[in-house]
Amino acid sequence: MAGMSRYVAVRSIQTFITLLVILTLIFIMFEALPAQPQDLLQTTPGMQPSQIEYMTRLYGYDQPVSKRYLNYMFNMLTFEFGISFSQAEPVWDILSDRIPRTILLFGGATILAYIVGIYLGALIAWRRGGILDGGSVVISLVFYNMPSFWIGLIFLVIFASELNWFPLTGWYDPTDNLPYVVDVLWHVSLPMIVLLLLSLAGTVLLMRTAMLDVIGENYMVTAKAIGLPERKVLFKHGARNAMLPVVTSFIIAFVFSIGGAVVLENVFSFPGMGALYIDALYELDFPVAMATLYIITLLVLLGNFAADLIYGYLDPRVRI
Amino acid sequence: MRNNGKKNVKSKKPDARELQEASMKTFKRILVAFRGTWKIYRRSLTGVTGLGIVLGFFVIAITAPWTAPYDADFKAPAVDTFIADYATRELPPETNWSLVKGLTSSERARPLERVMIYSSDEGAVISYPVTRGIGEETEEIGIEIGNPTIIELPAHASYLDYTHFYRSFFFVLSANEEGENATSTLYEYDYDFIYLREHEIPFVPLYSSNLWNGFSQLYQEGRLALAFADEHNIWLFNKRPPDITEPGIDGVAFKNSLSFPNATVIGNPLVVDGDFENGSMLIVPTDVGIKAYDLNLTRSLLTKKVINVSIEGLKWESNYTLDGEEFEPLTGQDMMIFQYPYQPTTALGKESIAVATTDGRVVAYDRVTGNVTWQSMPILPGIRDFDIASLHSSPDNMIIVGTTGERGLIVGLDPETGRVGGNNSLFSTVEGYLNSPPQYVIGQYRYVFSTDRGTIYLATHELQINATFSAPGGGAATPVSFLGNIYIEGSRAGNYFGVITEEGSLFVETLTGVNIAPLPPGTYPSGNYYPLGTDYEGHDILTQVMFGTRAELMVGVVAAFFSVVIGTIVGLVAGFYSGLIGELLMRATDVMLSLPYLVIMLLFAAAFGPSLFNIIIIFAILSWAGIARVIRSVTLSTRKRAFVDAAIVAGASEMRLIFRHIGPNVLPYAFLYMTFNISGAIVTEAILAFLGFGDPNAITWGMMLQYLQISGHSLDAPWWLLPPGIAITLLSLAFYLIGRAFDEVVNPRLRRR
Repeated sequence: MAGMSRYVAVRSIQTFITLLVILTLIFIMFEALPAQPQDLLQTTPGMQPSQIEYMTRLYGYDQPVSKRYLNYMFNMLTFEFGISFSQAEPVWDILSDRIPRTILLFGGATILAYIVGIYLGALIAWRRGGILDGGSVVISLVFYNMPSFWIGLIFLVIFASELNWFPLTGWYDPTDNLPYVVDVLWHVSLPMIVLLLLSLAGTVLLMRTAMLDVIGENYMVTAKAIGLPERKVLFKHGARNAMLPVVTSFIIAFVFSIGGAVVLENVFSFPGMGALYIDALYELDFPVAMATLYIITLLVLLGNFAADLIYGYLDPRVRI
Repeated sequence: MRNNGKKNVKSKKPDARELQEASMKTFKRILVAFRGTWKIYRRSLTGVTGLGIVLGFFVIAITAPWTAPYDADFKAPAVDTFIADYATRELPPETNWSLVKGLTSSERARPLERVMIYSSDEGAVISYPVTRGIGEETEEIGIEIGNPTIIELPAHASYLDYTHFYRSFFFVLSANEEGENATSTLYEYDYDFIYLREHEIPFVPLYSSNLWNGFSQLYQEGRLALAFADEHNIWLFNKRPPDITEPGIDGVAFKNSLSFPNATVIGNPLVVDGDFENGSMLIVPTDVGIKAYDLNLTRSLLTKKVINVSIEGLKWESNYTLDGEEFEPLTGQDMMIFQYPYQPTTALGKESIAVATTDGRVVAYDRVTGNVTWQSMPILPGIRDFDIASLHSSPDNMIIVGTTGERGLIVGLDPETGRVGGNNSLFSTVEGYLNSPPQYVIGQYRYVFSTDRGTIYLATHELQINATFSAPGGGAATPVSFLGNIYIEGSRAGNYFGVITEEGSLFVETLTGVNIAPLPPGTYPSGNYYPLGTDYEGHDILTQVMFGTRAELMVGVVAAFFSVVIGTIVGLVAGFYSGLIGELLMRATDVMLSLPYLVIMLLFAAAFGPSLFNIIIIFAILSWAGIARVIRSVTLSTRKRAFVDAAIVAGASEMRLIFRHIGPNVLPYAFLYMTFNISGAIVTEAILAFLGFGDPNAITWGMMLQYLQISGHSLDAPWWLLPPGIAITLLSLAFYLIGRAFDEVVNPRLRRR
């Protein structure tokens, strides 16, 4: 593994610098928001000027921008997110409930999408030119270009509102009289199906392309020529080799799908990170909004980093 | 060198023929290149389909004003969207009717008795008696309009109001003459429009106070107060009922004047009267501060009746400063309100008056001491800049009427704290500016108001728009007026509003009907056919989708164009200067690529504010990185080709190399990614709009879906849910398909094996 450790070091430094740049960008954008949390203090009823002063000092808004920037960077990098403005709770307590939910929903959907997508992609590449191929490609393209919230709404109308198969909103409802895990799964399933369909589109197209590349290879012809059953050629010889680029894209697909949480969680009123982020942005709850944004950014960066390492490990040319 | 010089001289003076030839040559070359591209492109069935769809949408966008079934701002008339009792009356033509007013009976439940309309130009009044009956138009129990009577009142009344006080009174204020020493007259009429008497006011009022009609529990008597002001004078009118010792008199009036030589009155004054002796006040907003005066009531020792009212010295004065900083008060008629005109209270010290400021704040003062009780800058989710136009009071809230951008705004503040009620949710925006105050509908916990577009709105007590109406024939010529209630059975009431329509007829309708919009597709009573139904405001869905195409194509193409321009330039430069500059640019590209796209985009949208232009900029800023990377690699490979070396040897400058020699070779890629980015921009606009960061002034498919979501009809109006989403998917897909097909032209490797 010559050069691997150097490669890891270089990539780590690059990732860290990228993180610093993005954090700075986030800070600037929050500073540029037309409404600032200090405005909230002014509107709070019964606030004495001394209290306002105290709160301003507590949250550090009396300090110059440069000092605040350094504090912010330090706090973010040490995961000291402070206390939420709107809920008077440590931001970590709020986040620690939400992060697993979002990861369960989006991680689950991405894994399912990959399992189904690889199988389907391989199959339609194998029977390319047929109705199955054309149909799947068209359907995948349509889903690929569909606004996620819209298909979410349609599923809500059909499966939750009309057919009543799934609950309309939320994460857990104690009045359902179901065991906790079952009830949570029941609540998660509809958004997960929608997410699955949406991410399936990309996976199927990716796998199909990868498979088409493989099908022309000599060993495939050989495998067919020696009379192996078609299933075996397709899955053991073909799909297994075509899977490589698809599987390595899994981590990136997963972390990027989390970015879409802001939209889909909003539609399903799913109490995850994305919904939290939007609410915090509306309520000017800066500590929560910043922390959520930071966690999502960190997930994306770490995902990219991990994907780079895997590529680097598998393909030595990347390391140069 | 010399050769070059010669060339330049020659090329400076091309004659017309040469120019034409040159342009023909270029044109031919483009044509040939285009033909070649098309030859490969048309083999892709999906590509041709995509192109067809895009062309179709372009045709729709261009021809929308002629082919759409309705205008862009069309709204279904109330006949279609609202099932309610209504009545219309043709009015005498060629009279400019300016006001509708409902006159209620003095009975306890205050049923509506008469509807009067007034023409300011002619001073004519038509009074229609109304009762419960069978409506002519609807043939159901509702309002029945009787035979009108015609009355003469002074013309050009600047103030016209009535109240029930001992005998019912009408007050009409009319200016007497023009000029320096103009005076005006306050006329008193009784409920049957019989002239009683008049009072002279030594100036022409610009402002008028609230009409106070309070009842004192302590002395068991009512008292009336009303004040008028011009820039430097106040005229206060008080009235109390007669005593048995004063036979034949229908009320005792007290008149007071006050002048401000050193200050200018800038808004409507307020009067407070009642049984709290030391609480009767006159409050005047002036340019140097709010001045509050005590009203001194002198009572007869014998009968305890008020025998004199006088304006005493200044009780308190507050200049416009907060924490040592000066602020600018809003000027105009309804800049100041008294908080509880609905329920006059003896709880001294609980009441406050509020003033609006030019920077969007509201400041509340204690009525007794003049101290600031609270001041607030209302924060509204998704709304940044707004201007306050006026303040109004209602039983639950202090209501701000204002504007944000091109839209009207109503906000409900908690009178105790000044915060936006309902956790910052008590507000609504509407098309056009409000031309009437939000009038509280007694017994309904709702408000009715109208805008300068002639639309009438019904809002819940949480200020959410509940229904919209329009008068028959398109619009209303007067602001809406809440007339009163007609009791149908027991306490069941019809709450009627009235307007004069643009066609010159009186239109009254009950607010207690059912708003049935969004309407499913079909033909409706007005004869209109809505092929795809309507939304909750009665906008025709098909029309909206067709007009939405324009904004959608504009945003898609322009946003993608700018992102491609940035990406191409970055890529070219990074590829050409592969040293430090290139390295830096590529690192920046990496940063952009590793941003959590949508999440960051929302932050940008919140910071930039909601408009189509900002969405375009945000998309361009955040979406160039992918293209830059591709363009860079193409640039790198092009740079190594022989013709570039040849150009370098020939002494071409770096700029020339980049833009003249390498540029054209990366253009196909730029175009390719532009088609992909258009499809991305269209979906992005939809997502931003859906999450509340869209342009409220534009018709876009994203905004249609946002309105669907916030109006709460997302689960029961599929005719509204489906078309915009299908349109977004189709258009985005079409550009994506074009991109894929064009990809095969640019990358021959992709062509079908």
